[in-house]
Amino acid sequence: MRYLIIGLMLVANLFAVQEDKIQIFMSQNINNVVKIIKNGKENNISKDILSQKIFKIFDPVFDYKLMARLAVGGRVWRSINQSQREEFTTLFTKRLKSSYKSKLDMYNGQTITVDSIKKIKANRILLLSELSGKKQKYDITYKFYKAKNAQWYIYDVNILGVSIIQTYRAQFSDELKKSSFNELLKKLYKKS
Amino acid sequence: MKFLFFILFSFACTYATPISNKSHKNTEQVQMMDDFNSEFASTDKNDKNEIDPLSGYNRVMTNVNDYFYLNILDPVARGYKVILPKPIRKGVNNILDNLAYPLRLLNNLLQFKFKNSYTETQRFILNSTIGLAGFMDVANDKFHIKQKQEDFGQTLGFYGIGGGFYIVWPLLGPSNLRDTAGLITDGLINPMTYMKNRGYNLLNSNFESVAVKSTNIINFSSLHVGEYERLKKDAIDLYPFLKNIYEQRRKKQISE
Repeated sequence: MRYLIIGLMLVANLFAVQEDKIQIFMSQNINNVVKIIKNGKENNISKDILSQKIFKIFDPVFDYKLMARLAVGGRVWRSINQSQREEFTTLFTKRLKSSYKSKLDMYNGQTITVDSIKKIKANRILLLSELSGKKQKYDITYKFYKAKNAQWYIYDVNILGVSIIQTYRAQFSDELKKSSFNELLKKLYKKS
Repeated sequence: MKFLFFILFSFACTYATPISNKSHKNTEQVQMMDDFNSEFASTDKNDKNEIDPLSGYNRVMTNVNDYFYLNILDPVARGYKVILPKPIRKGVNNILDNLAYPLRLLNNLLQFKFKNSYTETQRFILNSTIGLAGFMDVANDKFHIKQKQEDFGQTLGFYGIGGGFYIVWPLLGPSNLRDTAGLITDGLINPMTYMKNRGYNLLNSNFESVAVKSTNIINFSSLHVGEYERLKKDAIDLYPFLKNIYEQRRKKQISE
């Protein structure tokens, strides 16, 4: 029996998510993350350690590479070379994570509930969740796509209907109207 | 141990992808990227949203507002926060919120949101009576009846009127053509607009009515200290960042 459990745990960690498991997987992991943050607050654990623990849980489900690609858009992505792509992806991932990390200390007792999943296309699923504090409620939607390996990955998150990738895309396209891609890399480097 | 292998094996089988020819795979991938690109296309050049005739002015005003907010309004709100305890600040905000009930009712009705109109009416009655003229939001705190915010910009959007170009107003911040028309109309409905010295009320001069209105803004800010700074931290470039958030947020509010 012990092997069975260990085996199951191993398998669960090896792969991202299957369609029918998205909701359970996300509810469990969101609960774990809330526990980590709560525990961290009580014991004054540094944000670096906390965020490392959290990213360990969520890294397998987030497709950072795709997120970076979507944030600049197809036309720009095709126009830049491989090393620019790699550098951009690294910087953008770092930026997303540091932005998340900076929000950790905002937590004060809010609960996060996973409400439902919505399949909007054969290869797209929305996971609707809600962050609720004493008075306000925030809708958070995790957007999944089905990859070639038949696994589901997150490519964007909407907070109160505002897509994070979209906000970056607007800023990058604005920046690229004025300057080159290398300038954008420099700016992103400074900000991350 | 047998179990372990069995499970691993069964998973390996599930995930083994059939070998397909390369060209098929490529078209599939191109198709997928096209899908994504059309999903995020609204910020691309040829899109209507990109028409920004006031961009020069808007950028300047974004910075002016940013400066005003961080250097004047925020420090004042922080000071105010120290002087007045939270229940009072919340109460003041609740009273003004309660007074704006006609505005929410009308906009809910205009959008055929009858259930929300009823909810708003319930809230108004509860808060105006046991909530001591709106000082306490008992409807929310005790009965868990949440406010159904709707403004005239949303009503116009509901009837299919597009946002038009983006405008940044001094002090008021991000808006667009449609929402500006909305703001003016809402202003006409909001009782706060008509607050002036009439000889028989508590106000001694029109100066005091301006003071009350400013206090309203400071009071509101005191309940939201630090939020703007936190939001701003996520920006690489403030102008397109706030513009995009505003446009996305309004689209969402109208669709709800």
